[in-house]
Amino acid sequence: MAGSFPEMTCLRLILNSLGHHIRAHIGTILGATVASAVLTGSLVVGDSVKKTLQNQAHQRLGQVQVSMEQHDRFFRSDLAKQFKLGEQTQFTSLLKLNAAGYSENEEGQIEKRANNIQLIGIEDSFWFHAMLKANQPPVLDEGQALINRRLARQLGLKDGDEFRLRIAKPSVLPRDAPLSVSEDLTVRLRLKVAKVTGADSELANFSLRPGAVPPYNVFVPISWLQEKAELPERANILIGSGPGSAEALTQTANKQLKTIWRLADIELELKKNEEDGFVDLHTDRIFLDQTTLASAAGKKTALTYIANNLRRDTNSTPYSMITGVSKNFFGEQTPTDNEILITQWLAEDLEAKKGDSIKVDYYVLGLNRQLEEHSHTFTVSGITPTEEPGWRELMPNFPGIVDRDNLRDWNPGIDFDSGRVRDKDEDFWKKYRGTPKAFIALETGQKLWANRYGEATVVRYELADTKQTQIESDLRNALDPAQVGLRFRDVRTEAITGKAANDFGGLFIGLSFFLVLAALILMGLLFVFGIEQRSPQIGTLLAVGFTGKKVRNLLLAEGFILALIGAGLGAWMGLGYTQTLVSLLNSDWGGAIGNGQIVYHAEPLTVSYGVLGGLLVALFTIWLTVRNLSKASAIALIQGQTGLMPTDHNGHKALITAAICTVAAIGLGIAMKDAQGQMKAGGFFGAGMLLLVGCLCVCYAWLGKMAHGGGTTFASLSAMGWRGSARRRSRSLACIGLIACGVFLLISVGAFRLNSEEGANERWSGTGGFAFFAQSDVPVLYDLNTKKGREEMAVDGNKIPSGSIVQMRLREGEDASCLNLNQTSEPRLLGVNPKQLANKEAFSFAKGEGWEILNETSGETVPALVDMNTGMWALKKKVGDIIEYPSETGGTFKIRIAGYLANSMLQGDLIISEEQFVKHFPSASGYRVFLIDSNNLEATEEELGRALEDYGLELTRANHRLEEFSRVQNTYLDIFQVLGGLALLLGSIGLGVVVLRNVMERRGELALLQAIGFRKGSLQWLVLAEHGGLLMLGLIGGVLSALIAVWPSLTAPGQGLPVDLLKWTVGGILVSGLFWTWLAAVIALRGKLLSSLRSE
Amino acid sequence: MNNPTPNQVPLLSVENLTREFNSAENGEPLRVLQGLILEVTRSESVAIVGSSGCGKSTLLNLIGTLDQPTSGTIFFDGRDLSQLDAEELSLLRNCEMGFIFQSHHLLPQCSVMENVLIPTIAHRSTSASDEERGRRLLKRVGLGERLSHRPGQLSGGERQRVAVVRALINKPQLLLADEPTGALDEDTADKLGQLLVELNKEEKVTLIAVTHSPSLAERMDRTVKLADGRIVS
Repeated sequence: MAGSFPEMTCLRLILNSLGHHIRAHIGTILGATVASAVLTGSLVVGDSVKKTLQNQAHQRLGQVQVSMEQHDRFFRSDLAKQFKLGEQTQFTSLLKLNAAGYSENEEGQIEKRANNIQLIGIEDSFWFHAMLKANQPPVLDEGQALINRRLARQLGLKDGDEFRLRIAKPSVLPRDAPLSVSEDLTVRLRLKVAKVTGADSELANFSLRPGAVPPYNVFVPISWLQEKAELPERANILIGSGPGSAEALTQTANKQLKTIWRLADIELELKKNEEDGFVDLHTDRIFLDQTTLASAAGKKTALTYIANNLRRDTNSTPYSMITGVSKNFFGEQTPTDNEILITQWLAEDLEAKKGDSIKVDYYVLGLNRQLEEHSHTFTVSGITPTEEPGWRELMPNFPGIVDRDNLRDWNPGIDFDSGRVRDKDEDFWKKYRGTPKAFIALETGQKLWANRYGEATVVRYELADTKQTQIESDLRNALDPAQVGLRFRDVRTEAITGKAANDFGGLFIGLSFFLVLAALILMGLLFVFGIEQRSPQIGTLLAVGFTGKKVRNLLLAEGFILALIGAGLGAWMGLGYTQTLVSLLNSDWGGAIGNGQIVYHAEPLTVSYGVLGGLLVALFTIWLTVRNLSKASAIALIQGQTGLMPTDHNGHKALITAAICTVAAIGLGIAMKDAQGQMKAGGFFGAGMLLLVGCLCVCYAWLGKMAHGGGTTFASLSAMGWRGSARRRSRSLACIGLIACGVFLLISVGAFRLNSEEGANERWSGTGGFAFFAQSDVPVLYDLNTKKGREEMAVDGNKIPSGSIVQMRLREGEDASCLNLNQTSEPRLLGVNPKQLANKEAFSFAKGEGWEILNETSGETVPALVDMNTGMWALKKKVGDIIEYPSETGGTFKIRIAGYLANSMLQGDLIISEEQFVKHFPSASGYRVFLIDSNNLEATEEELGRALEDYGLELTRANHRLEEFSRVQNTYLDIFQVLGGLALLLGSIGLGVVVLRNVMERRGELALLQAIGFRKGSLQWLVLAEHGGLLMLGLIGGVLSALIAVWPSLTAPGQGLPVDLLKWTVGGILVSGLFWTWLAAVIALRGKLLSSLRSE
Repeated sequence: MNNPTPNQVPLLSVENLTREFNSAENGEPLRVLQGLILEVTRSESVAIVGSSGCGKSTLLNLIGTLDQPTSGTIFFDGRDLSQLDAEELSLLRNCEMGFIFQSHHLLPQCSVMENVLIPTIAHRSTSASDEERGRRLLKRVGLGERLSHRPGQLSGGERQRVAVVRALINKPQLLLADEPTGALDEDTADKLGQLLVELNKEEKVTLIAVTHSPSLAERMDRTVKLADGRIVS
C-alpha cells in the first residue's frame, strides 16, 4: 500500500508548493536574480581590475623578479656580470636617467613635447628578461633608440624619425653638496627611432614602479649613454630573473651580492701611493659619510676645504686648501681646538709667526645653494714645511678645480673672483697643486665644514701596517652594501598578485547598493504577497499542529530554493553586467580609473562568491518577511489576515519626531552656512537627510489621520482614493519612503560632486590658491624667490615676483593618487619649507592643525601631511599611523601621518619638511616641484616655460590638476546616480506591485462600487489617485530634502540648480511610477469585477 | 470517594472562562465570553449554537488552543492547558485534536491523500499505518477513488469530507468543527452532518461543533446554547 503513493514528507510539501505557486514565485526569482547579478557583476569588476593590473605588471616587468635601484648613486655596470646563480639566472645593469623630449617639424621648430621620459641604457642581456625572447628588437647602433608606443604617439614618431632628448646630467657629487658645480646640468641628445616597440613581449613599457599609465620609454645602448652622461661604466639599476621564485632569488642575490661587491659600487676608492707608503680611501662624492668613517675608526682622517681667504691683519691669501686632521696625523704637533698649523709658504705670505691670529673666511652652502660666508679665527700653533710627502693628495677631486692647470681657471661652484689670484698664488698652484696651506684639528674642521654628505674627505692607511688588499677586505667586511641601498628587492611577487589600491569589487557593490536593495525590497514584497495569499493555508498548518517555527522553516526552505535558482541565474547575468560596466569604465566612466583601460576577466571562485552572496542576501530578505510567522495567530491567518505586516499606530510621536528633525536641519544649515568645501557639503547633506526623515514622519502621521477619517467626508473620487491609501499605512509609507529615499540619494550625492572651480583662487581651496603646479625633470638648485636665484635661472623678476613660488624637493616614488589603480607602499615624497605654506595659509586641513606640524619631529619619527584621499584610500593610513619609508642609506625611517589635507591638488604625495627631507635624502639635490602664484597666467606660463625649458618643466594649471583628481570622485558619483536610477526604476515597479496587491485585496470592495454605479474608468482613476498620491508624496519629500542637501553646490560659483538631473530623475520616476501604477490598476480591474462581489 | 473511571472523567472541563478583546471604540474591553463553565465527556457529541457574535467560535478557538483566555481554565484530559508551552500545545493540537473549519483550507498544491497526511508530518514522519488509515477513512467518506485528485478537482462537499479525514488522521480524542456545513448547500450539509456524527461514534472521538444548522445540532448528543458570552441552556 505504501508503494502506491510517494511518501508524504516536508520536502514533498515544499516541492508541491513550489510547483503550484510557480507563477507567484517568478517575481521572487527575478528579484533574487537581479540582486545576485549585481553582486556577482560587481565582484567580477574586482577580478577584471586585478587581471588588468596583472597584465600591466607583466608588461612592465617582463620576467624581471628582483631589482636593485639607486636613486642618486651609481655602481659599476660590471657588477651584473659577476653574479653566478646558474645559467638560467640572468642579471643586467641599466643606466636610467630622467629626460624631457620633443620632436621637431621640418623647419626645425619644436612640434610636440613629452616630459618625464625614462631614458634607459641597456645591454643585450636586457632582452633575456622579456616575455618572448624570440621577438627581440634590432641591435642598436649609437644614436639609435627604441621607443615605446606611448612616447611614439605623444611625439608623433615612427621608425626612422629623429627626435631630441634633454637629460639631467648626472653627477656623482650631489649638486647641493658644497663645492659642487651647478653648470652643465643638462645634456642634449639627438636620437633616431630604430623601432617603435609595441609588443608586450619586448618590455616596451618596462618600469619598476606601478603607474596609472605606461611610462614614456626610450632604450639606448648603455655604453653610449654612459659616454654621453659622463658616467663611464656606471649604472643605477640592476635587474635579475631566474627560474625560481622571486622571493628565493631576492635572498640568494642579496647573499651573493655581499661577496662580490666592491668599494667602487658604493663610490669609494682606495688610491695607493707606494712611493710614500700609504693608501687613501676617498670618494668621488668628496665627503665620506659617517658609516664609512666608522668602519675606518682609528685611522688617519682628514677633511680638506677651500678657504676663500686666510688673513692676518691686512695680509691676505686667497683660495687655499685648509685641512682638518686627526690627532694621529702630526702626533703632538697636531693642532687642537682653535690652533692652526701653517706652512712655511703661508707664514711668509702672511708674515705670520707662532702665536699670531689668522682669520679664515669660507663659504657654507645653504639649502638652495645660498652661499653664506663665515669666518673663524685661529691661533698659529706652529709652522711646517710647505710640503711633505702625501700632503698634496689630501685635496679631494673637487670638480672645476682638480683638472685645472691654472688657479685663475678654477670653477669651484662657489663665488670665485679670479681677479684676486696673484701670480704667486698661480705659482703655488703649479708647484704644489692642492697641498694644504694650513692644518687645523679635525674636530674643529668638522664643526665648520661637515655637512649632510659627510665629515671627512680622506682616510689614510699606512702601507707599513697592512696590504691594500687587506684594507679593502677589512672595509668590505665592516661595511654593509645595503646601507647605501645596494640591496635587491622583490618587485614581482606583489606586482603579479594584481592587488589594487582599492577593493573594486566592494566598491562596485557599494555603488550598486541601492540597486541591490531595490531588487531585494521588490523580491521581499513579491514573496510576502505570495505568502499572504496563502495565509489561510498557513493558519491551517498551525491549527493542525505544526509549530510556527516549523511553518516558518518550510517557507524558508521554499524561499531558499527560489533564491538558489535566482542566484544561479543572477551569476550568469552578472557576467553581462560586468561586461557592461567594464565597457563603460573604458569609455564614458573612464574618469573613475584615471582613463586607463581595464580588461574583462571573471574567476570561477568569484562568481561562486557572487552566487553565495546573492543567495544569502535573498534568503535573509525572505527570512525578514517570514520571521514573525512563528508569532502569527492561526485564527487570523485562517481568516485571511496576514499578520506579517506591523500594525499601525497613531502619529503623535511621528509629528514630534518631524518637528525635532526640522529644527535640527535648520540648526545644522545655519551652523554650516559659513563652512567650506566638503564640510559644508557634509553638513547640508545631513540637514537634507534630517528633513527627509521629518517629511516621512509627517506622511506617516497624515496617513494615520486619513485612516481615521481625516475629519472630512469624501468630496471627490480622488479624496476617496487618498483615504484608501491610508488603509495600509506601513505599506503606503514603504512606497513613499522608497521613492523619497531614492530621489534624495540620487540628487543629494551631487552635494559631494567636487568642483575644482569653486574658490580656485582662494587659499583654502584644493589648489591652495596657487595658479600652477609644476614639475621639472632636472632639479632647480636655486631659490627662485631670491634675486640671485632668478638671475642664475634667467627668470624675469617682473613677471615672477619674489615670494610667488613655493619650491619642493622630490624623491621619486609610486603615484599614490586615485588615478593609479595599483596598491602603493612607497609614494612620492615631497620636502617643503612648512613656513612658506603656513604664511600663505595654503590648503585646508581635513585633520591636523596646519603646516607647522611638519616641524614637530618626535625622536626619529618624521611628521608628514598627505591628502585625505591618498591617506585613506591609497595608503590606508589614519592620522597617527606610521609608514616605514626607505632612506637613502639603505635602511628605513619612520614617517608619521600628522594630518590630512582636504581634497587637494597635492594628492598622491607624502609631504614632509625640507629639513627632514635633506637629512634622509642628502643626495637628492635641488627642487623639482613648484607651486606658483600668478596674476597673469599666460605671462607666467610663457616666462617659466622659457627660462626652465632645459629643465623639462611641465606647468599644469592648478585647477586643471585638481579637476583631474576630482573627476575620479565625480565619475563614481555619476556611476552611483546611474545605478541608483536603475534602482528607482525597480522601485517604481515595486510601487506597481503594491498597487496590484492592494487592488486585488479590494476587488470585492471595488466591485461593490461598480455595482452601485461607478464606471470602471472611475475606479481606475480611484486607484491611480490613491497610488499616484503616494508617488507624488515620495517625489516631493525626496526633492525638497535633496535641494537642501545640494544647497552649497547651488550657491557655489559656476554652479546652479542641477536642472538636467532633476528633470530626468523626477520625470523618469514620475512616468515610470504612473505607468506601473496604471498597468497594475488595469490588470487588477480587468475581467468581470462583479463576479468578485458574488464570491464575497 | 472512588476514583472516577476514564469514561467518567470529563475529557474537557472549562471553568469560569472569560475572553476579552481590546476595543478601538472607547477603550473599554469587549467581553465575548463571561465566566463560562462547560464539561464534555469522552465520545460525547456537543453542538454549540447561538446567534452571530455570541462567542461560539471564540469558545471553540479557546478549546482548540488557537487562542488564549483572558481568565479561567481549560482542562483537557486532566491537563491544565494554560500550563503548556507553545511546542506542547502544537503537539496537543496535532495528536489529540482535530479541526474542521467552515472552509476546507486544503492545500491546493497537494493531492487528497497528501492533504490528509499533512498532520502526520508536523512532528514526525508519515508511517505506513498513517497511509493505511488515510485510505480507510477516505474510503469511508466515499472518496476512495479520489486519492490522487487535487482539491480543485473536487466539489465543495468532497473537499469538506477530505478536511474531516485530515482532522481524524492522527486519531484525535477531540474533533472541533467550526460551522463545518456553513459553506455547503442544504443536501450536502445534511450528509456531512450525518457523516460527522457517524464518525463520532465509529472513531469514538469527542465532537464539538459550532453550528447554525438545527438539523446538525439535533444529531448531536447535547446542544449548548450561548448568548452574550454565557451558556443559557
